[in-house]
Amino acid sequence: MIYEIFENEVVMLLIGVGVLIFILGSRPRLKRLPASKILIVGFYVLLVGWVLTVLEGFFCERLLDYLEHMCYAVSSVLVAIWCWKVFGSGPPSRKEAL
Amino acid sequence: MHPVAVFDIITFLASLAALIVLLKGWKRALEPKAKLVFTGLLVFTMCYGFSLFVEWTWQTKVLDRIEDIIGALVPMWWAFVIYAFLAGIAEEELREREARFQELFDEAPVGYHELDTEGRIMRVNRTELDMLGYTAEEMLGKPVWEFSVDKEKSRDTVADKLAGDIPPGRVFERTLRRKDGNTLPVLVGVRLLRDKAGRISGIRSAIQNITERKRAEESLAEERSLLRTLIDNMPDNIFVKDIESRFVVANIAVAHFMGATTPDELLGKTDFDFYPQELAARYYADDQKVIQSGQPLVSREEPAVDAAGSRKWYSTTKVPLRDSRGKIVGLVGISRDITARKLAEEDSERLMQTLALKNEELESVLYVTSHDLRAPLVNIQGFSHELSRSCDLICSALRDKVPAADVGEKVRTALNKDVPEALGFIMTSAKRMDSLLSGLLRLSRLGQAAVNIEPLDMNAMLTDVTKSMEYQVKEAGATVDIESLPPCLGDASQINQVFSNILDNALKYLDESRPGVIRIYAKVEDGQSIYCVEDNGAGIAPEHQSKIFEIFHRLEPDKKSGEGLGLTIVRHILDRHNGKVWAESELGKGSKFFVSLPSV
Repeated sequence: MIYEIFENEVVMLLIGVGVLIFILGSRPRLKRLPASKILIVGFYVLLVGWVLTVLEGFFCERLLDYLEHMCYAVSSVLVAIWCWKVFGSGPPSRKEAL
Repeated sequence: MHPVAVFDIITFLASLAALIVLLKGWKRALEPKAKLVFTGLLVFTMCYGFSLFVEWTWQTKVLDRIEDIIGALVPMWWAFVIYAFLAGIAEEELREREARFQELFDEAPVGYHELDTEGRIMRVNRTELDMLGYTAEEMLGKPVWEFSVDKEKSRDTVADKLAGDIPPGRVFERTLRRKDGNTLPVLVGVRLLRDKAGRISGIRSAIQNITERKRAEESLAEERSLLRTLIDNMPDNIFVKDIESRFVVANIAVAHFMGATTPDELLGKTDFDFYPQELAARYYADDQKVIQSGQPLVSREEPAVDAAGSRKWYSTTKVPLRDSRGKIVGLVGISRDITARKLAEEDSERLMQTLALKNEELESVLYVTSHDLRAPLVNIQGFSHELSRSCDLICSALRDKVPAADVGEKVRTALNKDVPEALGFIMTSAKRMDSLLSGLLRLSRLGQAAVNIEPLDMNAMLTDVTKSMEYQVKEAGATVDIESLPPCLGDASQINQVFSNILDNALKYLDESRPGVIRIYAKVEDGQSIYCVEDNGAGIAPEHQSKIFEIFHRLEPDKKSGEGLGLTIVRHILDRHNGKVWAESELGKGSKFFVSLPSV
């Protein structure tokens, strides 16, 4: 069996883990963001995608690749939902109200 | 199309949609910087999705390289996004804190202002603006002393503060001028502001409106002055002592009594510093009793010695003094000089004793007089009879033995007319004197008889009295009506005599022109049973009404029998029973005799 590791994927994962730590450390403050859970879950799903893209070099390449892309898609959808919640609906900002 | 490519196109489309939504609702939320960074993330995600999707169709190295670069930028951009969001949140928090601070600053219960190093107002809160009636524009930038009544003093104080000459925490009392011209007393608390280098950069002052406090202080001072004037001008001794019996407050009367010039000289001292040991110890014991028991000492009459050494009598009231929690912290005392009253009481007592003695002597004299005078009177009466009989014998002998011609006319007249007439006068007078002496004797014996007080059934007693006088009632053709009578306290035989005498009088003085009606009724009032014997008799003329209880006073001495003692005895008996008797009468209509006796 040939194991194939791509440096860029490892770099993505490492940066992703760094962001994860950053997020976990700032969680109380991030909660002040509207619908913050959706955005953070979107990031977590994306991070899972980055983990899968590294893992697919070792085993189950096709399945993990499939799941990886699915994670990207799900993450994008969650981010889009967050955008809709924050910018697309809800009460107008104070400026608009004025 | 490859199934995985579907996910990539979804990634692309979702990112695109998110980007459109963001741009459309750009103004709705978040900080502009955070939104810009987030826009970048969406662009990169969109490009990443697009490049992944294109890869399935055109597999080129260039495209592969672009996808790798964008793929690496995505997590990095997430970091930027999170950082930007956190920065935005921090800014928002700061703004909130500032707004909160401004709110607190404006709505603080005290006024605040900040001055720069020139003494100009740089910041002022709403409370202070409301206090003074200015707008912020009218105050900002102006020297603070412009708003003070005493500008020079205020300017000097600000200069001293800015020079650091005034220690921190010091509070000043100032009078500010309001926009409407009125003055406002305030308390100013000062805090120096310093820059990073530690140099004084200004002053922050807290202004407290003390108008109410000033008013309360003035009111309190007025009340104190009033109270002080009041207690100092009271003739009574007024003092307040602490729990150790030391004077805390004393009025001028106390000071003068104790030989001090002013009340202040007494403060902190005790009775032991002014009175003899024994007297002071007695006062101290009284004080401690009041303080420890919490029970007031009311109108205690006690001796005292004034500064000149004169003995006095005082009526003293001491009440415990409590603090706001109810704990006894001393006592308040009021002492009234009752020396004059005490002397008068002593005089009165002496007089009463003398009077009692004199009364005893008088009764004794009365008894002796009435008793001993009867003996010679009996002789007079006896020998008058004897003389009368002898005179009759002489007359008879002369009639039988001596011819009428031999007896001179003068002798005949003397024997037949003058001597019997003189003897008649002597015997009538002696009889009258005997009657008077009997009355006096009865009266004096009444004064010596013991009074046996017991509850009396007045219904039974009056029924008995009426029954015993049934003959007189029938003779007079009268009716006696007795209503229900309350009981009273008294000596049965003496009270019986009271009502017998009154009833006898009522029957004696009935009006012959109409049937006599005597009504006896009663009521209880203020612990006294008041009985009334009412008749429809002849009544008593007004000029006699005040004399009917006098000894030997008779209304119709020629027509009615009696000694004039009945009502005197009634009054005498009732005096000994702590009772009363009085009469109301109308001539020609009848009389009412009231008897008041202690109720059961």
